[in-house]
Amino acid sequence: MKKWFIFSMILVVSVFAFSSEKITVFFGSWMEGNFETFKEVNGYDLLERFTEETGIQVEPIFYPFRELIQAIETRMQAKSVSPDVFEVDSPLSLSYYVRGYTEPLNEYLTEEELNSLKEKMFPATIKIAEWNGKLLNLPFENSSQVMYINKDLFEKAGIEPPKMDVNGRWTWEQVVEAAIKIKETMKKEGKEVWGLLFGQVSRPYQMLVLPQSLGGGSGVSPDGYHVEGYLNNEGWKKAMKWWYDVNNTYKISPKGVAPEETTYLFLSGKVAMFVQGTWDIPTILQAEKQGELGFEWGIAPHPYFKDGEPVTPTNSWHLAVNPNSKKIEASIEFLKFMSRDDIIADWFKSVGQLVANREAMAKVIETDPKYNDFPWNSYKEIVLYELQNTAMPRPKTPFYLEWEDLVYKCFEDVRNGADPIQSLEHYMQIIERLAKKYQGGK
Amino acid sequence: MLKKKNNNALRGPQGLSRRSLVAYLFLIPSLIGLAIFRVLPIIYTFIGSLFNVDYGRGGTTFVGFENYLDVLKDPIFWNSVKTTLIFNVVVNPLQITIALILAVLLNGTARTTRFVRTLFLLPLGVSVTIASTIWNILLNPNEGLVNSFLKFLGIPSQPFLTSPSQALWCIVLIASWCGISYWMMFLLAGLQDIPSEYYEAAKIDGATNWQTFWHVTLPLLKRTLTFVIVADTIANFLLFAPIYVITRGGPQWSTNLLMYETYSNAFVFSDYPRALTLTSLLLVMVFAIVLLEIRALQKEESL
Repeated sequence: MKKWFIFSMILVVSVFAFSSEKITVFFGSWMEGNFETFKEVNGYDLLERFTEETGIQVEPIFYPFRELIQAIETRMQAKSVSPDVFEVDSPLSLSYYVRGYTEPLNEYLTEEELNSLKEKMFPATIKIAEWNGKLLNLPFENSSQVMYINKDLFEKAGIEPPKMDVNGRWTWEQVVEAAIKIKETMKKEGKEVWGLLFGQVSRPYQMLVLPQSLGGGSGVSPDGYHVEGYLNNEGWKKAMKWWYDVNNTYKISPKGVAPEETTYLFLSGKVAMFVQGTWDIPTILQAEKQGELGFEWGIAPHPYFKDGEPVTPTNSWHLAVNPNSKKIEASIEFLKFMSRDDIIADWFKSVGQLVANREAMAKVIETDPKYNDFPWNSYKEIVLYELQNTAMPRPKTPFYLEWEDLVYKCFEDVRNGADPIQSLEHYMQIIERLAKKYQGGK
Repeated sequence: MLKKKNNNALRGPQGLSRRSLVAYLFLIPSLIGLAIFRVLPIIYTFIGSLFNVDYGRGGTTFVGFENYLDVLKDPIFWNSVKTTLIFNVVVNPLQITIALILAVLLNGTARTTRFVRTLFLLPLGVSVTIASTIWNILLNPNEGLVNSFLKFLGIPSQPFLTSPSQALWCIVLIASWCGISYWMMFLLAGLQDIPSEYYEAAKIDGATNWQTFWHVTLPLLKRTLTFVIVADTIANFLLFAPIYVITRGGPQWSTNLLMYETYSNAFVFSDYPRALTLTSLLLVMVFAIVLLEIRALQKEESL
């Protein structure tokens, strides 16, 4: 009897211990600072709120921005069970899926949930995350580009700067003309300034819109498996020639400036037109507040080619589930939580980063009076329009990682004086060779 | 007779002396470590290079030496080989010569010598990654300190890291800045091991400074020098950090050393079989060059 009693007690204690064991979802992320800002502004911890609501714990594993992609590569290649959920640079969606790095979400969401999700999101965010009817990950953040203006330099050159109006959008031809004039005017005053600077210089994220505006497309075939005839078509050649001229013929853009340095160059007052993401607005405001900005600034829509159409860069980080995870259901719960309108709205309000959820973002912009005044009114006047109408996703291809690195190098080589046409042909051949290892899945 | 008997008593069943057996037993942990961390990865690398990954269909296929043939037909590989060889032909003699000169000049006990020696050893405290970042800023074509100084002297700005004809030499400079003091330390230790009697004898014989260096210092430093030459060659063949931090193989592939090409294939292009093939080739290349260096130095010694 005594033995039975002890055995029953052990059993009860074990069952209790197991039932009270919390599930922990490991979350690979590079946004450590964003989670802290979220807590400061909204007054609650995002991950703790999720635990309160579901009983599931989320343990973030933070990586530096550049290392997250490498960490995913090595962990997923080794079929690691952790992290259960991780952030994905959205153009890598297909590349990760093809290599078995992410679990499609369709079978974990009802038809209704899927449709509602798709309706709420900006079209380009869904477009980049879908493949053969499968939703490969959850669109989370978003991005858009504008052109920041140094109004003082325009005034000195006697040029009327472009306005915050999508209907009065400047062409690249106008940009070049103004940039040359500003550079020459300032040179006469003995000052070296640059007419035009791309914030994400040479990175395909930003440069891709040049050939896209000229009808050159994304540089990859529609099936996502080839670049021959796509990366070296007429649109791409014209765009690359223009890029060569900007840097080597007109010399209106500085060489040797890395993307990490561009914002500071604009803040120093040495750049007339700075094409960059809206994420730089807080940095410029901060500099202005601290009295470090010695000029008046403005925001204008992203330019386009006279013979082409307006196209703007877009997309950002999505959330994906590891197919080797032992906690897929809990991971899906976390994704559903992160896609909720109230959570997304709080994320947008606090972090300031644009979000994929159009409805939540538009609601905040319409109701918060902050968005009536400069510079935040640019969200109302430009950004919402661009995300809905001109935003063009990057190519959907399983070899995006390879493509991105090599196209970056191509733009960088041309920036440094390499022949634009030969460079395109050269890089096209390398990418075509690298694409072979994926072509078996066609 | 008695001695012979004693020796037999110490021998094991296979004719191995008991002392050798004990020595081998002590070596076993290191040999196991060497096998796991050195030999096995080399075997794995070679075997991996004989397979191809098909991400489309999934799985791997045995392809024999096809990856090697592909790599050997690839102009990017040959450009990397050429760049790596040019880099090493310049950087190794440069680093070792300067390190040797500095070691000889700073081999003293005077207070000023020790102070200057400390100054020269300062780069050792800076990691290659940090040094590369600092040099990247210094050599910036627009705001960099070096170009500002050139402008001050009336010399036009130089596109140090953006010009395909200058970038590799900038990497040589950075690698040397980081490496010279490191190798100088070994050579200094070697110099301090040379007994002072040799120098006294040379002095009595009326040898000049140059003759002392050539006939006394250099021959007695040969062992240390051999180690430094071999280790420096290996280090420079596998140089990665400055390329990764500063040029990423560009501009126009001018700094795409074999090590960086291997990294790109593995971690950027997800082409593991090609990366393993490149690693195998790099290993063979380094091994052959080191073997040649050792042979040449030994030959010189026997002469």
